[in-house]
Amino acid sequence: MRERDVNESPDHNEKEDGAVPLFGSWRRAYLAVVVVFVVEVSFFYFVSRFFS
Amino acid sequence: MSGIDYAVLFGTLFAIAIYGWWKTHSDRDLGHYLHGDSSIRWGTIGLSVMATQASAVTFLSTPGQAYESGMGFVQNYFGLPFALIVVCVVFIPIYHRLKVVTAYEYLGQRFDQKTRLLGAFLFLLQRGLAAGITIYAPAIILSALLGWNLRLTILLSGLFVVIYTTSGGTTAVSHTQKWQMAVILAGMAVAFGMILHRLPPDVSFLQAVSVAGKMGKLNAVDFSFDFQRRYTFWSGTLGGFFLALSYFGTDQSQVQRYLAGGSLAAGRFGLLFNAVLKLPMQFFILLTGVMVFIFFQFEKPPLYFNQPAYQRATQGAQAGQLAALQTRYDAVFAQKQTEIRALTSALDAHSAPAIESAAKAVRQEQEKVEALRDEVKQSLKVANPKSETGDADYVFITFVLNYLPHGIIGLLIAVIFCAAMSSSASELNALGSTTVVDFYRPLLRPNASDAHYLFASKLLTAAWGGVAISFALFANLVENLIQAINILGSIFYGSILGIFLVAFFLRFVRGSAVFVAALSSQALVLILFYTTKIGYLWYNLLGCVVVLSLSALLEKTFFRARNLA
Repeated sequence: MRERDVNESPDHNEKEDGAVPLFGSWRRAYLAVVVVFVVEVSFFYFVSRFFS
Repeated sequence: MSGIDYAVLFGTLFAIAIYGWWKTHSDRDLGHYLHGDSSIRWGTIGLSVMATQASAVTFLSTPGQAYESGMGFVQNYFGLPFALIVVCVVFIPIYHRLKVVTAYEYLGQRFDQKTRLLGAFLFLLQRGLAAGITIYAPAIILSALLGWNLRLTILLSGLFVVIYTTSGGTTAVSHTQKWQMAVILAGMAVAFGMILHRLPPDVSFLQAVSVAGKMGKLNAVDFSFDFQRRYTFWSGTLGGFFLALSYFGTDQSQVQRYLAGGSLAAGRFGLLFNAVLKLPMQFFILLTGVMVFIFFQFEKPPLYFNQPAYQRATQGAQAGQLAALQTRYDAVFAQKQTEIRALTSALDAHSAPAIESAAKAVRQEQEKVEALRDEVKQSLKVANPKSETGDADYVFITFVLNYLPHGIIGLLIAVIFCAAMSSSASELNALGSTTVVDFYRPLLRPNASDAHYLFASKLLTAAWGGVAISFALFANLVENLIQAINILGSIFYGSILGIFLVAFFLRFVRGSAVFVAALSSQALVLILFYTTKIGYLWYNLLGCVVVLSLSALLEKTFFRARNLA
């Protein structure tokens, strides 16, 4: 059996990606966070510009 | 404050402290005490992470910052979502797989014992001092404005935290933080609603926001590449990323929060909850400060918000100058109100030229007010050269105490205490755990029973509480400590983050190389700190880069040669 590196993520073997509620996978969850960030900054920018 | 305010304040604080004690007092499990209970869900972890970061200063200073400088401070948090994603992808899986209690245990497994002790020691040094300030900062402001005894205020807020944190450990901290955060969010929402309610009846929310925009207070995003500006999109995204990465990834007071649930998914969801909600929360707190600013365009605010300090100065040699400034201020404020009314009328009429002309006049009057406030600060500095003349921390609490109804005042003071207690609980919990797990167990009593370690953990958590309270009691003798602690944090964070990034990404580097690199980086940062005037935030990046590059260089040269020999 292959010896694990101390830094190796459990995702490599345990296939946790298949069991993420709401998003389906962690990758999609992270992508959703980035999308929300873009929406939030766009909103802040809109407020800055619209009312100035 | 009236009887009902005290009832709301003490009722809230007692209820949460007793809940924390009741929920955990019969638990004798060392794992639960240090690591948390596996029943803790992601929502509790998310609120716990949020409550740890949001200290009392967040709710005292942030609205005041928006009052003075607008919404630009929100950009400081732009790097946070990306840092939390990196923590979720890289840090948490490794901490979970190795089943570590502290982040520094990982350094022991990846490198060696001396590197682990170095990381833990730097954390204890920095966070031990910060815990004192977390208790001290709100106490100095509340005692000044409410006339409370400073030492009694420090003891009151400190002892509550020490009792339930010592009693229940990580589980108690997580459960109490959930309710503290609920009180904080509810209190801030009520405060925001009350500000809108206190605006003149003919001024709508949209008009208030428009006036704020015309007065330059809604400058939330700045894409310019001007390095002189304190807050821009780029500095917030890049600088904020490194700051958040070191804080959330390597600071045990946060690591302990997201490892508390026992499941990888709960920790990750708790952090992603913060990645999504932190920006709107900061935006909302800053908007509350902007609305206080708008409220004070229609209601005359004090010329200087730290009224006790101002009143003392009016009794001394500066009395004549301050009285003259007050007279000039009264006249400027009356003129500004006329211009503000002209602006709201122009906004009603949707007349672009009239709006521009009225906005320009309002801004000119505001500049006069700010110039007068600067003159007051200079005058106060002359009266007492050692005094801190910034009064932004006093803006929001002045509004709360003078313009909100009884009961709500008690709730808002409870918000400030809850924020102080939630932050210091995490700090004491992390300090106690790190001392036991990284120092006491491996160095002093390696083979004792769980019951012994549980007792030692409680004793050391209480001891750190004693250190923090003593430091806060002593701190009133020293000026400008809050800034000193911020500087202290930046001096150490860079090296600590550097050690962890080497551990994760430079797998060929071993313990001795990173240990020497971290010590060298720390020495370099300290030399630069004492000999140059580099802005202290840069030490985060500098310390990290030096550890990364020097450890790689040493491993490839000096330590490679030694290993071959």
